Amino acid sequence: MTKILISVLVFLMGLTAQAQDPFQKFEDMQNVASIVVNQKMLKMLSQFDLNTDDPEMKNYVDLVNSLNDIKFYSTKDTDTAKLMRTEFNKYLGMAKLDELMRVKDDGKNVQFYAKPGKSDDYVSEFVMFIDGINNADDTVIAKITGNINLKEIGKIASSINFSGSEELKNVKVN
Amino acid sequence: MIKYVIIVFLAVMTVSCNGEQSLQEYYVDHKENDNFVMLDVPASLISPKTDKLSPNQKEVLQTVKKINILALLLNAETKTLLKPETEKVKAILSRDGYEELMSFGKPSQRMRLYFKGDEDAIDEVVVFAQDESKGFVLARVLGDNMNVADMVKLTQTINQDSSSFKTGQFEGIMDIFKDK
Repeated sequence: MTKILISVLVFLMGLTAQAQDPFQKFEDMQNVASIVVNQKMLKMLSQFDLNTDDPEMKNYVDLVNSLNDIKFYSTKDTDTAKLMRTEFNKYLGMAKLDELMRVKDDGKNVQFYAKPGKSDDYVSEFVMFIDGINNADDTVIAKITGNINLKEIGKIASSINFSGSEELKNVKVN
Repeated sequence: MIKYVIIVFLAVMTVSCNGEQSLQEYYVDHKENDNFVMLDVPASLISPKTDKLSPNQKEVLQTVKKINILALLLNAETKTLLKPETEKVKAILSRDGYEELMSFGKPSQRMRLYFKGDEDAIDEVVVFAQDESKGFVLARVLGDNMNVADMVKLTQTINQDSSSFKTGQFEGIMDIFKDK
């Protein structure tokens, strides 16, 4: 009986305990601008141009459809930026991400990481960090989850009008 | 033993249900409050008077039942209200069966978008926009099986012609969806 009770309790707790996003706390911080797009929104967005015959557009719709969520956080404040760096490094160790590449663009250090997906071109999670501390520019964390085709991810850049989203265009796959 | 479990379970449920406001109750509670501006727009007002629309378009429009807008405009008196009221609305939206679609901005100025229903048959869309220096706007679009894709198509056709269409608020809301 006790066993059943415990398993019921554990089950209930599992329902209420949400998987906490380590970056979510930045959303409520002053000096931090953010954009969060959830799966349902992406599904709706992908419905818009279903009738299109344009293959380019179709690729785009497919890409949007394959994503779970998109999160961008950015700050110009040095202290907050340092905190972002700390949290990001912590997350790298925890989530076991592979480094994809680093880019030095305009004095900004941009790093791309990913969690392997079902094949080489596809990743289940994509993370970008832009370090803007040294040149007083925006420091940005971007996290995208889903079944992501790395070849297509640059296309998201044009849809998200957010600091640092342009850097996504630099992602290259061999 | 089982009885005991059931009682505890029921108690927990009652506690979590009681004393919690729904968004509807929040609207009603603030209707009479002078610090808030309330606007109820029935669907008949946003529908065009002309017959220019195709039956298909009319059908899409008919899925919208009404639009409720509640706004807190900041002045010297209402300044202190913004924070507690924002927290209240956020709390309601996070538990009253709403799903967050997206949010953007910063703590001083943010817009959030929620919905209720299925993604291709939406019952309610909520836009919650808040600005530290101006106040907040809480808009609800209530409907029956609304479809975002259909609506965007509709607003696009409407933008092209028809001046008799009173879409002021409606467009503002739909612009969020179009902006991609």
